[in-house]
Amino acid sequence: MSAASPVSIFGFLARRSIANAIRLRLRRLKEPRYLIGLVFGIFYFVTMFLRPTRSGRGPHGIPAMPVEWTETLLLFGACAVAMLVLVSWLLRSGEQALKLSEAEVQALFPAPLSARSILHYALLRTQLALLFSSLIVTLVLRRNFSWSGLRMTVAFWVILSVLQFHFQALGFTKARWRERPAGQRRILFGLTFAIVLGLVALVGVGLSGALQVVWGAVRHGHLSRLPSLEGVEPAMASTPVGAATLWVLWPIRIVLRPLIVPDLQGFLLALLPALGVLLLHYTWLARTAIRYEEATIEHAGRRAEQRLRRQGKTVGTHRAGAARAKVPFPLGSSGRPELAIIWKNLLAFGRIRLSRVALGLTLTFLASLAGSYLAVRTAPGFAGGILFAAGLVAVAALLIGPTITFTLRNDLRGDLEHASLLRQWPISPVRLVAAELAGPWLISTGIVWGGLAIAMALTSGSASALAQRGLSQDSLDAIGIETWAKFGKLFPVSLGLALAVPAIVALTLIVQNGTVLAFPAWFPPGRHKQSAGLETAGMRLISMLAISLLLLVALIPAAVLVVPLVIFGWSTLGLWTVPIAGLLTAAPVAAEVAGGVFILARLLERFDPSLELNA
Amino acid sequence: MIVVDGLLKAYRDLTAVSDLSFQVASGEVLGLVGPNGAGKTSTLRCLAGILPPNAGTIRLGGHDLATDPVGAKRLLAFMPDEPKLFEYLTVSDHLALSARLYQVPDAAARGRALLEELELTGKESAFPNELSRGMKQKLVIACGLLHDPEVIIFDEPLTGIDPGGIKRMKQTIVRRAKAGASVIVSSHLLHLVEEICDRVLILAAGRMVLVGTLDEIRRQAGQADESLEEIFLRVTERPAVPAAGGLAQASR
Repeated sequence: MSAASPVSIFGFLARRSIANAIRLRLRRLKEPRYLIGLVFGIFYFVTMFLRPTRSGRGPHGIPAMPVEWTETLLLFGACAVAMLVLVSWLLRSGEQALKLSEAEVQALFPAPLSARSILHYALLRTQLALLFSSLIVTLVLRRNFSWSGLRMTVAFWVILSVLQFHFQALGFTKARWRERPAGQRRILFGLTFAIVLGLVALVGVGLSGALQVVWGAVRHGHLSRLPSLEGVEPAMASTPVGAATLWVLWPIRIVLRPLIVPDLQGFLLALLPALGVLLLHYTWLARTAIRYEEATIEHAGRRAEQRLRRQGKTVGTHRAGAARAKVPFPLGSSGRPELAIIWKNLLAFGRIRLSRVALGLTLTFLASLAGSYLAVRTAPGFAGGILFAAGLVAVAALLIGPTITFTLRNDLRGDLEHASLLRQWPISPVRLVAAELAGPWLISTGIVWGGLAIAMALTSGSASALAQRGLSQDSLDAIGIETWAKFGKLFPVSLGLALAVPAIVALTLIVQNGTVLAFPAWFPPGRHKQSAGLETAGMRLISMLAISLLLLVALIPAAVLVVPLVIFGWSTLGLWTVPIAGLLTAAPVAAEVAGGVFILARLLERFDPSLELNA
Repeated sequence: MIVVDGLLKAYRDLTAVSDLSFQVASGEVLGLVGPNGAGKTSTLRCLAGILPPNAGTIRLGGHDLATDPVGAKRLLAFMPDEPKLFEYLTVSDHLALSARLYQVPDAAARGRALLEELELTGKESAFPNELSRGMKQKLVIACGLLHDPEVIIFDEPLTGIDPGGIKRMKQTIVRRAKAGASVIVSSHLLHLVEEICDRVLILAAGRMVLVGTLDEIRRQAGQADESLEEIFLRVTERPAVPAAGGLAQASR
């Protein structure tokens, strides 16, 4: 009896899995939330990806350009791919794993299949994923389906497949080298390192030569007369280093070429050698792929663990003993139970010690202060860069701090999965809710205040140094430094934001947790809900819109106070209006938050885990 | 028949199984017992062809697992302790996949009979996340038995199964052995091993400590009236000793 063919097994699994996944999705549409989500999802998909293409687009939907340009583009693309491959030769460690799931390992490894058949199955499996990725890339770039789109998909698939085969075979090769005696191993790795480093240098020099040609064309205004770029390849070929670089890039250009060929005949002619390179890679992979079982089982286990972790399920952790012992702060057995909930939610964020974080922030603050002072005192020209960095730090903190609460879910949203347990705790619902929200609020506020403090340290350090040199930050413009992040401007704005943002973050948390508590069917509880599909994307859109709308409504009282202040106070107070506005925003929002905690506590009392969690 | 000779399995700097030799005749059930980390799962994975051994030979039904893996695995069914199923395949799909992997001609009828035997009738269209732990275990066993294997390896087969299911599972194991299969059952449930196994192999720290029928084991342990549990606890709490009688005594 002949053994089962990997193609037939893969075909069966792919066919049944896809059909069942579609069947499950269709079954889910009986619930209105998924149906409405699907409508929104389709609307989003069509408006984002299937808009009509603009005129002037090239054969593959990307902007039309002359052949000379595409050739130059191909050359630079090949350089980028070459660098990626060479760096992976330097950095990638040897791994013998095939990318299979635990179910596949369990079903296929004891089955009457040869090791080669399992390898072929694993390769087919990745090809399907690569083909899907190529299709998505084509869709994003082209925004429609057509024959040229199909060509583009095939071209992308060949490129991705060659890279995938290359990296996998490289992992196998290095793993085999590691099994050799120590002396041989050292020679192999040493030689490889030297050769690859030489190739990196060669491609780097060749690339700089090519860039010089392009830069020359740009500098002399020849860019509008595109044929001047025709000279890139001949210019490279005229020098020994450039010619050697072109030889190194030759196989990569063969693989990339189908992507730029505009007509079908040319595409087919370019595809054949590209497939030849793919075949060579397959041969390399097939010859090196041996004894992959242990690594594959380990890899499948790791992937399953990562997946469980993404779904918020408890799994064994690989953290070292010392890292596991880290807690935010020592938790005594007596004292307020709220602290235990905050402690738990901070742990869910990460194993960090708050004392270390505070120390780190203080040291960073002092280093920023001293560093900026010393730098500007040495050379006032540094002031521009430092103030720019201060602005960046402030903006990053203001962006990351409030938005991190959308992804963290280390509060009631995450814990509602264990609602039965929450109800057993001897703590009133109001205190429970407040404690649950405190964890992410502390993290978010910490990021905002920490970022603003470091920005202030940078600006005040440079301001002091400038003052010692008899300059003011306002006089920076005079020495050719333009920046808005000057201490005099940044301080009142930061102060206002430091007052307002924590209150707004708390309000955001109330709204996000409230939506989950009130509408668990629409906004499912759980730490990291992983699901995919158009209907889920649509539901996420709807939830974002709903949360934004609720936040806008909640901010109306604050706006009623702040708008007259800005209208009447700006002319007198200038930027110092901002801290007062921050205070006027924080006060009504804080009152709303307090009310929100009570409402959330009532909702929590009424929350029925047996009904809501199975919805 | 299963013949294992000089099996050695090592992971980097850890030797999981060392110099393990035993045989399981057709129609025989061998109980493989040992404390956690004794090397049971590594042994079973090597026997199932999931992991390549570092040394030693394994022959299943006369086929050498190293030189004729496809021929050997065709006779084999391995039921792991933790069932891992395909998320988007139904119970019927899992059986169909097994039928294709093992080239089973009358899979539909056999599948129906197995589902009935394992009390999964009516669950044909269910997905894994709709099944209990015990049902998943039963499905894996149904998939394994579909091709009527000559060599059957059970790793903790009763985990998550209810008392009625346990009784029927024991009957299934014994029935398969009586039909001529060589069966290995690895379990921490020593009363199960005592009840259904013809012989017992005790592993500790990767080495065979004792092997034989319960009476032979009692004799080797020097205590005629001890239960398997008492012997197990006594012999696994001391450093491993070479197996009494080795391969010659292990095979009847």
